[in-house]
Amino acid sequence: MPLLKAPLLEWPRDWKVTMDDKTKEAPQYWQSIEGQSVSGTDEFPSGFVEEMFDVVNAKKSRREFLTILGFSVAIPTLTSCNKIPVTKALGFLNREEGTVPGVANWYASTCGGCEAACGLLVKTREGRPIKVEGNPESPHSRGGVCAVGQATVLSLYDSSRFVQPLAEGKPTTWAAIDGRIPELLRTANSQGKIVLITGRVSSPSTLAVIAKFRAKYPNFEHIPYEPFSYSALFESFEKTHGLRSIPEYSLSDVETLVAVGADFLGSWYGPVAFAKDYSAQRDVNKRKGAMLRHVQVEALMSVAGSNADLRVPVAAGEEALVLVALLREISKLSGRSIESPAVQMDGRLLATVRTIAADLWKAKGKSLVLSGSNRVDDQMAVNAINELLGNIGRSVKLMPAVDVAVASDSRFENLVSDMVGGKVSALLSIDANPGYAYYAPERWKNGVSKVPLQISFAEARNETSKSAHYICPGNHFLESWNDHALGGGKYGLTQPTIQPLRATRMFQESLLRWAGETLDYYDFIRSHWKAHIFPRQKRQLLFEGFWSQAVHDGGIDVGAASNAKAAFKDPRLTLDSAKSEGLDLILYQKTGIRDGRHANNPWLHELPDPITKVTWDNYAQLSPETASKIGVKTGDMIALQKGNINLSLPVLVQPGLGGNTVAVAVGYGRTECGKAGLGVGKNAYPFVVFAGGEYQRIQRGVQLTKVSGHYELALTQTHHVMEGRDLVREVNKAEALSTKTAVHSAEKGQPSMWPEHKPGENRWGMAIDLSKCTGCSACVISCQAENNVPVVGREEVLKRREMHWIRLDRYYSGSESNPSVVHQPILCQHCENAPCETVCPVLATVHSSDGLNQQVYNRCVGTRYCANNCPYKVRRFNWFDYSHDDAWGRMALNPDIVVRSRGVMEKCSFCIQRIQEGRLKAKKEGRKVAEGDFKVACQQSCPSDAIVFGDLADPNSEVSKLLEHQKGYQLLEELNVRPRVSFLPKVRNPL
Amino acid sequence: MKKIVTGLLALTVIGLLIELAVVQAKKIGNTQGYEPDQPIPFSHKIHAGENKIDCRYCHFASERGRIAGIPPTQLCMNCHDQIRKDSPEIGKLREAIASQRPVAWVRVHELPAFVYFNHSEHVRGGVNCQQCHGPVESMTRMRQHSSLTMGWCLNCHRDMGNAPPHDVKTATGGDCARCHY
Repeated sequence: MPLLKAPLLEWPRDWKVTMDDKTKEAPQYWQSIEGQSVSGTDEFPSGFVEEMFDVVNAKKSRREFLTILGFSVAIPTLTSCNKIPVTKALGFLNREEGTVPGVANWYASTCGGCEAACGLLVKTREGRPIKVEGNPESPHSRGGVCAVGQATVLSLYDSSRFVQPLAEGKPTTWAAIDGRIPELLRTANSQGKIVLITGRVSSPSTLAVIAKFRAKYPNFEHIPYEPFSYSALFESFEKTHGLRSIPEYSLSDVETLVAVGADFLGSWYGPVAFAKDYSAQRDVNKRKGAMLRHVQVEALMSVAGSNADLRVPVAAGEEALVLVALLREISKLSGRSIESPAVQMDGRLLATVRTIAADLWKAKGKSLVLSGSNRVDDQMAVNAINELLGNIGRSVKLMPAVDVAVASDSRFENLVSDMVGGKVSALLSIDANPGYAYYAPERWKNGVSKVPLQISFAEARNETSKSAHYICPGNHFLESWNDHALGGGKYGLTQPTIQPLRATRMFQESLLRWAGETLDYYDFIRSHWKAHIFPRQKRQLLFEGFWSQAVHDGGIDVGAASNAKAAFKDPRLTLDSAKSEGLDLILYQKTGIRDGRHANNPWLHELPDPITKVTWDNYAQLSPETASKIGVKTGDMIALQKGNINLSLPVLVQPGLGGNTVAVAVGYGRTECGKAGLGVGKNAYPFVVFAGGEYQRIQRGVQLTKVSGHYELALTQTHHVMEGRDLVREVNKAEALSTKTAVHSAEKGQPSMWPEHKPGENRWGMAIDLSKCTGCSACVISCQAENNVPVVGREEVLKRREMHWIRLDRYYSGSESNPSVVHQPILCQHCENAPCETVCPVLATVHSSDGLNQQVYNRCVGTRYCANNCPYKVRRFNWFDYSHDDAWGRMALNPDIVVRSRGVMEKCSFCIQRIQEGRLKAKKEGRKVAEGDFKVACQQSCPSDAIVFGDLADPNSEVSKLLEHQKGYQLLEELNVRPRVSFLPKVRNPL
Repeated sequence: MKKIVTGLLALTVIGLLIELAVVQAKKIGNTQGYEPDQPIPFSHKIHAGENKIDCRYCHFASERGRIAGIPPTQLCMNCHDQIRKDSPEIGKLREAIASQRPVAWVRVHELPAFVYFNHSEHVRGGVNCQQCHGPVESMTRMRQHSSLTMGWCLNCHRDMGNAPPHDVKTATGGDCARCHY
């Protein structure tokens, strides 16, 4: 019998697998220093293979192994014999109007995650908030919400929150508290000073409540305290412009932006609002060639710095020098001399400063200079530069500081002195945790021990509430009413989206009770708005209409109180140019944990840092040069020492970190909090110095010594590596505009081994603009909240078992001392010819008629073949039944998505539940699903609009248009898997 | 001869055992016919059958959302404030409202967590309640009429022409993630 001859596929002759010339010149990208040197030869890191077989600890005897084996067979057999469990169905007693079981309700509110107070839309199901999203109609943040905001919904269900008030550690009732405390406060008022410490208060009604309280207890002081305060920034305007002001920054007309040590896209001021304008101003396609240029001078490799067109790494102590040098240059260019100290700096750095100054001068009136420093002199130099450039009143709007109480570091310092001196008779605290964040813990303890009455309004146990005599727990912001002054006539409203889960009470309500007021806080806000905010507008005639509109929209804009005109006064600047022995230490806030208040949130702990990609820890960052000088590698332990402060931390070698600098994140090393944050990392606040009236986050002359020991950091940057293939692409502005330079490499239309899919009614697809993605990681937490993605913990992350459906790959190119960075969100690419689908033995991953690559959990038997065959490494395996057994934490789960069990593969579904919801909505209205019916979770949360999702079958959809962009490309096109996710290259605007 | 008889007998026994196993295995997870006692002996026969109350008066959510829902206790009191208000069973409802503890009904129809079913598109699409829930108007005690298995869903959808192998007619009708996510 003749052998059947298999038909040969006929390959077109002109088809090449090789890249074209353009990509050969492209920069070499690398993801980690280790990866750069071994370049993928070390296929399995040491211990990885052993670890793979470590599910049941391998060091067992044969007999033990058989016992385990026997049990593991017997247990499922026995449990599967059980009868189906009886479930109870509870209905509402009385249905609230508007609640329909199984249908989500949305409420507009304002975020309480940080001081930025972004506008939110809160999704509730059966009365439970389960997701927060940015409110696109908010005049303040204009849509999008950061990772921290997304994670607040989990903090609401934190099981370590206080359940009821406590008196001397014993549970009590609010009635008992209200009976006892006014009497104690009266005594305290006669014996000394009553002090209320809060975070920043931007709520006009809260300030009015505090005023009522003061009227009742006149011996009273309100001291806002922020561990990472903007004290110097606010103070500086008083000195240069004679006005205590909260500046409002606007990038909407800025062409050149210079930031010195200010991570305005990560944690500084209001990252969401900044990102919105930043990405719009850098959209070279939409703006027909114009593009904001961003220069970042910094010691830390920050999120903002990683996006800069020109990034100048300097030592932490040099940031101040750069500002003065910049002022001198600008002053020279403007011809208006401003007295400033002479600066001695490296010639090359000075030349760079000159170039930056020239570029700023070219864009005068359309530029902005920012500084993250907490030295008044530095901020005065910035004000002077902005003044000379004509930016004040344009990109820097000086809003008079009304309705806002911001932290003043010197006032807090005086308070601690008063406490130590025994002058404080009562200490009330809310939202502020000096017991943890104060730089001299012994001094704080000493001070606290002399305060006879301490009352804490903390939501959950913290270091400050530990010594409190009375705990009067406050509500989470999702359970509260509140208002926010957002500057320039804009006001935000926070409305409760759930009844308080425990016997807690808004602290404003407690203060009102104790001040003898009978109004509750909701009525108080209304009366305050009626008297002070309602009269400032003319659109609504009646207060009820005005109020309903404000509650519905989550806030209101009553028109700008005038952009204050202020006369500029020449600042008198000083400069600390003394040489110091040792390194400069810079303390910074991580994108997730920030100043430490969110330390009990496991989502934020497991969020890989946008730059270092470390989860669950803080560490000492060193530049590659400094590290090799000391002879340490990532994971080695070092001891930092200044005076009598010592701290040993693992090293992380960070490319691009300023020379002679060590950077450490604050917010870690909490000693009093719930189980998620307890003992994670180490507390670096003791290195803060009080100098010149402010808390300084840069400390000079820190000694560094190598100590014994090694600590494995749970880094994700080396996981799921795509082996140095051509994945990120970048072009400069000129290339982006030219029609000639295409970044496409492999040609389209390769022959396929598989039959074409029948075109469905819809074809879902996504386009991601690498030029807009700042790496902020909001999408990661948004996806986690939406899709019930579990937290696995540090140990499991070390084993590469993190579960995030979307990750941000961070690529470096160029030198280790100053690399360029590209952030790339990677999720399931929903390939047309999906390699995962062909290897699944049980058809658990299949293609849908609308082009989705679907994972069917109930079919999956966990062979993990699909994950092995995925070229993008986006599939995640449930190695265990990850904990969803916390009765409180479970309430944050999205009921429209199943919780996957052990042994099941999962991955991005393109938010299938949202597609279905949009489709159902359209079906009920008798039409086809259209653009705008739904947004996927990552797209909705993205503050910079980098992710666009839509229907490729509709040629007019935004995603279709982006896909036609000639610079667009897909990942690993040469594999011919035909992904449904398309990328636009990173566009740079070099000087 | 004896050997043959023993062999045949053995084969029959083994065959019967296998058949039993298959029949039993098919029943795993199938709760068709489930008819539990309820904390209040509510009769659909009286309400929906004799008094002809529309299903959607109580199960109003079935038109709007994913689940038909247990009616709120206050809804029962719309009528029972007047009708049979002295019955001890109605007393249980009043007690539930007074104590703010809802009545713990025993759930009859329950789909596994990995199945997404939406009432509203079926009800609005003109599917009769009885088509899935059976003759509820004649049930004194609520009983699971249909098997609610995937095959049962697909049979109906096939008849309607929007499940494999006819799914080309409507978008996404036969996609796994139409129901499983």
